[in-house]
Amino acid sequence: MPSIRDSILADIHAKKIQPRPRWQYILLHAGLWTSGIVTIVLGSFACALMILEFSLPERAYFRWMEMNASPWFAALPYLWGIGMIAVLTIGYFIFSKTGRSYRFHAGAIVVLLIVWSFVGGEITYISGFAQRGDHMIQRFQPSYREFREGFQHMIPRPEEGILPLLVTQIEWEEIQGNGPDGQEWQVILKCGTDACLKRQALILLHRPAIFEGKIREEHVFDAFEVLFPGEDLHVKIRKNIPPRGATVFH
Amino acid sequence: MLELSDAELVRKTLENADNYWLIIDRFEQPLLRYIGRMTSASHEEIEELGQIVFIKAYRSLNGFDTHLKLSSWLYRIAHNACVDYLRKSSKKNHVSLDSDDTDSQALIEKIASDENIALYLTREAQKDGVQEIVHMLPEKYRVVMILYFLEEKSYEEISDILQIPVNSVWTLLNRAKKHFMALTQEPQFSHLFTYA
Repeated sequence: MPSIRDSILADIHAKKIQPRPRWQYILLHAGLWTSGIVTIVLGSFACALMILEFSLPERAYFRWMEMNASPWFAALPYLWGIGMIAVLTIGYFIFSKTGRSYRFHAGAIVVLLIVWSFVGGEITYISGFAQRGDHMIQRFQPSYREFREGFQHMIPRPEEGILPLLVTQIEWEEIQGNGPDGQEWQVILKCGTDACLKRQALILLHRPAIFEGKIREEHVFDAFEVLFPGEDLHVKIRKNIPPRGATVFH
Repeated sequence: MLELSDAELVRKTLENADNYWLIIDRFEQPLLRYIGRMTSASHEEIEELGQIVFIKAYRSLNGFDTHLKLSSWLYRIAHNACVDYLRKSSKKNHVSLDSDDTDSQALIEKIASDENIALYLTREAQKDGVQEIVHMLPEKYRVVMILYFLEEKSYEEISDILQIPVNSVWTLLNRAKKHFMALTQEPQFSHLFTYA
């Protein structure tokens, strides 16, 4: 078979064919990495806020979102999803021509992005950025700040009938945990274990819970009702219904 | 002359287009042979496709990923050109081994020596029978068999050429072998093959 070398070289010279500029490829790669990093950062922040919310007794942010849906914050999960689509699309265009993405399934890349976002979220939460983010949201969203302050004023006051507690031990009609003053509190359930705790008792251990009732003596609290994370307290606060124990002292 | 690495070949070509002959000389024959096996086109058409492949490769040279083998990258471009050619022409079902008379025999020997088939297939299998069976294989199996048995590409190289995951190459090849074996047991071919 005769060589086609000469005709190819002649063609390149005659038609002045040039390789496509390198910057086009650099731009594509930069786009891929940027969208990947932005996706993970957005995902990490969203995950960190979720972890923060689940660790708070009243899930204030979620409830505030329900009532005051801010388009930016509501859009966060969608931005995360769009970021993932962007990564996959750019990745497809780059790697279908130059790289090796076909060695991985698109599903694997999505799973990796989600896992990295959760890992990033955990790190972001542990390093305190979620709390800073929460403060930032409070600064830019006055309604959220007011909503949050409502809890902050109400929650840490056992003398007003509300005791937030990080539960460390559950016994029959008696619960122990760390209170807002950093001291260990003993809670005597006056409502009857079955009525107060029901099946949720098991998930209460090592988690925050709020008790309504009154102080019996120092660091001993009689509880008439147990409020689980996210339950009715915010309704009571917003409607100015005093918790049951509060009437005892006013 | 010392054999230049893939990266050096690309760098030299980007410095001076005239150095492209280094790449062409190294890969021209295997690529034209592959195009022939894939398309069973005439010599003129094969050369024309070869030119298209090398020009396309030259245009995209800046995008060559040095983690890949240059041969895999060129095979991929050639493969895509062949698929385009087959799509445009009426030769969809004519992927064949005709371009080289030794292909059928080589394929028989390599398939026969494959560890999964060696027990069942003897080397006395007829050349024409193998060729006909290869014709009957679905295109995806035919391509992977040509790349593995005739072009002697590794799983990773086939993955790079066909742009599919390595696991899929493994699966395709196994299915292709099974399909091939099943066809040898068809009444019209069974007399051509002797089983252990």
